[in-house]
Amino acid sequence: MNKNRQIITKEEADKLMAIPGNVKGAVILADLEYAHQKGGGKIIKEIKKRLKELGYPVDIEEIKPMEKYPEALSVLIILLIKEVLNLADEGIFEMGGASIKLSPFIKILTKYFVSPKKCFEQAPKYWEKYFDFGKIEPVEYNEKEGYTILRIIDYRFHPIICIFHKGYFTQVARIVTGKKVIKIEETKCVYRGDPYHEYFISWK
Amino acid sequence: MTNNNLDKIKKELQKTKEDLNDISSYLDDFSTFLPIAVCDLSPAGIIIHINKSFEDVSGFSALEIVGEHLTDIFLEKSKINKILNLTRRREIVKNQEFTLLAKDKKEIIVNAFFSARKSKESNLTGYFLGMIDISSLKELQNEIETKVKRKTKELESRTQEIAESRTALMNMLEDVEESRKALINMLGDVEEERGKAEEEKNKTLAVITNFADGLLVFDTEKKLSLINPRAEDFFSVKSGDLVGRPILELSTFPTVEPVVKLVGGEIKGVFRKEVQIGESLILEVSTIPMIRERNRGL
Repeated sequence: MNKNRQIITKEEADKLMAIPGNVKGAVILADLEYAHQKGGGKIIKEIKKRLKELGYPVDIEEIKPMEKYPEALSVLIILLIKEVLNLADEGIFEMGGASIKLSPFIKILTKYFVSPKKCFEQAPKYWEKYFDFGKIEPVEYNEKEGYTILRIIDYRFHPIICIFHKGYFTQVARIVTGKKVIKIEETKCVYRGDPYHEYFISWK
Repeated sequence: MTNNNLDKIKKELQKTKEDLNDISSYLDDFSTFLPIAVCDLSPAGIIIHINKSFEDVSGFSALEIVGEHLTDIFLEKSKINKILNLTRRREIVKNQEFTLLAKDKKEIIVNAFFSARKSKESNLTGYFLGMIDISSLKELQNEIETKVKRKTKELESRTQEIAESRTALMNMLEDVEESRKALINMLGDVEEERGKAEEEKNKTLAVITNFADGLLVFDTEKKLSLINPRAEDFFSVKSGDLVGRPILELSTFPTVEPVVKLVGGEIKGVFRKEVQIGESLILEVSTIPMIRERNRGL
């Protein structure tokens, strides 16, 4: 639970929605499913109401997994889930992990989870299946010492997504390695002046 | 590429997306409807997707269980790893009994089916696991087995009792047989003794009968038990008239009366006393006690 509840303003929403780039509806559906599981139908209604208030009315029930939607809308929905569920950073991290757990695409994405090495190598293809902008770059993979380094390039929507992605990568690493203990650190971040986001993920 | 071609490709792409959405929706509906609990596993054995029935049986939501290893929700952890290895080789492994550890800590017996998922290049991409809750069936089976065990035990106990009774009966029969043999032996001894006694009696009777002196033998109750032929001659009586009478009663026979007077009712000791019988006969009378073990006679 977040002690300092943050309310998204119209100005923030407008600024966010101006950023270009699209994502598959499956990503948004997974986040909405997380909200539904945490708070039920009333939370979904609240999110719809808030989207309308902010000037971006969306018929959530009509979102299709294969259709493309603005990534900004996806990020705005994450911010609204955080707002209505009053989530702290831990909640955002969990939502990132839930995104893979509840994804309607999980059934067809398992071919990327064959092994940590394969997952590392196929990461760019995996990214391209979801996004039509930016990219993910596999930097290093060390099976012996149990770590990998990934970069996300040309992605700058909101700092909350840095936590969300940490949760997401942690869950993917857990699935592909079968290890219980996964550590993740964002070693570089565009919001700290770096040219890209870089994540160091290790397991044992 | 002309604008027409581009429009055509865009339309085709849109149609394909719609078809994919429909397929995805169909698969979701089918997965939700399926009464069998199903989950997808990664090659490492991590749960990556579960259907509605799996949630119902296990009590775990996808949010709680996806990302956990399959061994985390089964009691037979090493067997799970063995079966996954077997499935990798055989592709399908059926009818494996496992104990599912549900969220509420309840242990649910399930019949599990495993299938390997492979890529076009035959590389393992994961596994399917299907399972059916057979707790009720198992409970019924256990009840029947318990009953059968109990009945078998009862039957064994009865058989044991019958065997013990039979042994006891056989022992009794042996005892009876031994007793019978002992009795036969005893009868043989008695018969032998009786024969000896009879022989002795005959010898004695022969001696008494042919004795030159007259003999009167009394029993311990002072009743006449024997009179030899010589005495019958002396007293002119018949044995049948006298035998069995008490000594004092013998005084009613005139020829015997003098002897009765001499010895008295108690048959006192007499040695060579003379008695006048009639006018011409004088008898010399002696009494001798007869000792047979503890009894005394005359």
